[in-house]
Amino acid sequence: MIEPVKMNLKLPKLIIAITALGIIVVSCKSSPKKESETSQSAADTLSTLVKVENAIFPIPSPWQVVNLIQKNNIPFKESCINSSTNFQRYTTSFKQAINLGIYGTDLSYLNIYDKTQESLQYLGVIKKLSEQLRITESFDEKIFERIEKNIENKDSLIKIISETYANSDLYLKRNERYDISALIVAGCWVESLYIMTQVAQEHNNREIINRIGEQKHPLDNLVELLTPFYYKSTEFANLLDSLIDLAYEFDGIIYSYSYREPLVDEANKVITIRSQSRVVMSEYHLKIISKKIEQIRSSLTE
Amino acid sequence: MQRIVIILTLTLTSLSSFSQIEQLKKTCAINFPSNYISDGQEYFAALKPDQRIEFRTTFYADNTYRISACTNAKKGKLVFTVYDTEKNLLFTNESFNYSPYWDLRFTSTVTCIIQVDVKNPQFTPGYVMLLIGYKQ
Repeated sequence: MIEPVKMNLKLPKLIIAITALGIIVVSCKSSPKKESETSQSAADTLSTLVKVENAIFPIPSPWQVVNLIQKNNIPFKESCINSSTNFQRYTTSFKQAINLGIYGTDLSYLNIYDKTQESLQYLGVIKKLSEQLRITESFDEKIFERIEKNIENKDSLIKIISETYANSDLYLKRNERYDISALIVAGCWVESLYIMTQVAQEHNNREIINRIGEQKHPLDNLVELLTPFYYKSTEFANLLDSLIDLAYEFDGIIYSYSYREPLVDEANKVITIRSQSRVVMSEYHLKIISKKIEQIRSSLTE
Repeated sequence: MQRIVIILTLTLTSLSSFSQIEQLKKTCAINFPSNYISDGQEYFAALKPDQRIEFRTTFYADNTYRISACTNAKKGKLVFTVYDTEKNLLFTNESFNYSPYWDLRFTSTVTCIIQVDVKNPQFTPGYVMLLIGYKQ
């Protein structure tokens, strides 16, 4: 059932909302197109395919990546994370948003290795960046209190961090700040790939190398997510150009896939997907991807 | 004056969308227990009759993911279908009484195409939301 409109905004907020909306209407600012319709493919369904830009280009969770590193008993590498003191350099909303994503992945990485003190420090930086970006509705005091209370509990903390990032994503999308939302996602992804490549080069772990190779489709999604903002600023254009350049390197990786019928467990509502995929990544590709992601990440954190 | 009326109408419409999305999130979250970790993104879109949503996502090996789907579109059942990139059908909730959630366990990393639509061409347009998370 559709909820009735809840007019529970306080007057100043309503005035701000109306003023902001007025500016948008009057200035007729061109915003990214939200829906584009393509005609149906032959012999498909009778429905029209709706491609919802800025909304549905999923990027796998960065928390899963850091989990994989720890599961492989690889020691924590401090040089992989962005220094918490760097945040003072980030004065544009572009840099603040992308580094909010980068610090989010770093916080998960620290937390998984029980780096409590450092986690608290990074939490402070995340709080400051979220304030600068005016997304304090999601990163509110209660969230930080919850995080501080659960700082020793890895599982709870990952849950709270991912929820907080999901809430801020929803908040930004509801407020049509798709560019900021996309940048946070991009920051999370860039940092997780950067950490993986740093670890893979040192430890030559097959599982992590494969996970790097598996980033081809997430990278394609990330490029699509950022594309509507290409002309927004030079920073956006540079980031997108460098990610497209990186995507070309992924084209050189060999992928194989074979379908197998899934197994259904109806009672527990679980389906086991038994299809098998394989990634064959050469040393050359690992090196070039590592080099390129390092350059991208360095341009974002400097 | 006319401009103020337009702005007010737009503001109220926008607030209505906010509350609809908030409500949907609450509904979706019922089937998304605390041992599932979100990927940090929220997927929602407006859906009209004769439209469907399609997107690609990668699921990693040795993980179980939950998809929880919900809609406020009336007079229709929400269908979510998962294919591999070769368009082999992996799962559809249509075969399981339109269950609003399902767990997908992956033995190998697979990139999937997820399609979402509402069965019944006469349904009232509304929002569709999906929560995707891995099991901790």
